[in-house]
Amino acid sequence: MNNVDLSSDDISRYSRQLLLDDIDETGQANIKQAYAVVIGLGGLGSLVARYLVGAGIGKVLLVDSDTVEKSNIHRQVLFNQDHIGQHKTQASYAQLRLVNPYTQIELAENQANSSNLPSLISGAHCVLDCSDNITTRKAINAACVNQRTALFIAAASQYSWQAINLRCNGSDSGCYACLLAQTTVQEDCMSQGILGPVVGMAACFQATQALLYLASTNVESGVNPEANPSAEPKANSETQNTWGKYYIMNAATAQFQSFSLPAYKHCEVCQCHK
Amino acid sequence: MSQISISINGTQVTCAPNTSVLAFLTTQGLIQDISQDMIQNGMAVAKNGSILAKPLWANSSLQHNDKLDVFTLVAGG
Repeated sequence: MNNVDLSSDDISRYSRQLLLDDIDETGQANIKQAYAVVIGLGGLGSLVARYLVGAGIGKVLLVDSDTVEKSNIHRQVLFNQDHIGQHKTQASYAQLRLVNPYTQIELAENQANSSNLPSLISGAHCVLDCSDNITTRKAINAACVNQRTALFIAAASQYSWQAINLRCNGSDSGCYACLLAQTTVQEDCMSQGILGPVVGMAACFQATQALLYLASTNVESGVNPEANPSAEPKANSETQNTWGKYYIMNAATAQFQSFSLPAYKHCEVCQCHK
Repeated sequence: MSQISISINGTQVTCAPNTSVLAFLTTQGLIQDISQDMIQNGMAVAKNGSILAKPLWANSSLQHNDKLDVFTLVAGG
């Protein structure tokens, strides 16, 4: 049982999600203590951040080095015409403050990379990979495996979105590097195109999974539940079977697929941590 | 059995028993150069619902009624 009390404002503000069995007052108190790092404030991250802050997360770190461009606005829901030319982190902060004044919002105007990621994700209860390129995604995965931090990944292109939740805790499931062994992905939304709602669907899935994980996780401030067996999350009726599964949805045809991702025994990222 | 039946993305096709996944994908025209070390287009394969790491494609043999799903990894956000 989390000993953080909910205020009367909390009860009012989060009343609709408090009705859910997997949130209730205990889960909301867990969310209120939780700390998540959102890497990338594009089509994924701008919506993910909106939902995490709206749901009452205690603290978020928003990581992005880009400025808002006109071509972002069709899918990056935190931004409008007035934000063009502003740093995405600053524009997001201004918008998110209006959504929920109680969340502690920290900003890192950096391009996440293998050098700075260990410090960027330090102390986080989970990381949401909302980046837009394989190099960054690989670095995020490696940092999360190394620190045993839960990682929620989503990606989108054209009419399709994909997602996977990784616990990075030495389980039999693979990591993002297992998925990419000897494989290169050479695409992004600049060359392939993306429909705004499609990347929004990916973000909604990603935020849902992260919130249910955080609601089910009784964390003490500064303690990573994945690295601390005594803080093992309780089973969550809605999400306990989603770890390590790769989800693919074609939003145009409504085709939905899921595949398991076993660990690749020669993976240089996750197998050396077992 | 001279030929076995394989499902690839929901379509039934036949091939010789014990054909490797890599050889099968090449026969299907999904891989242009069987000798290449790196798959460049983000192609991924799930065999019977489980993703098969690319380095395992050459040594994973197909059996009758195996199901392959071939898809393209995306990275945009």
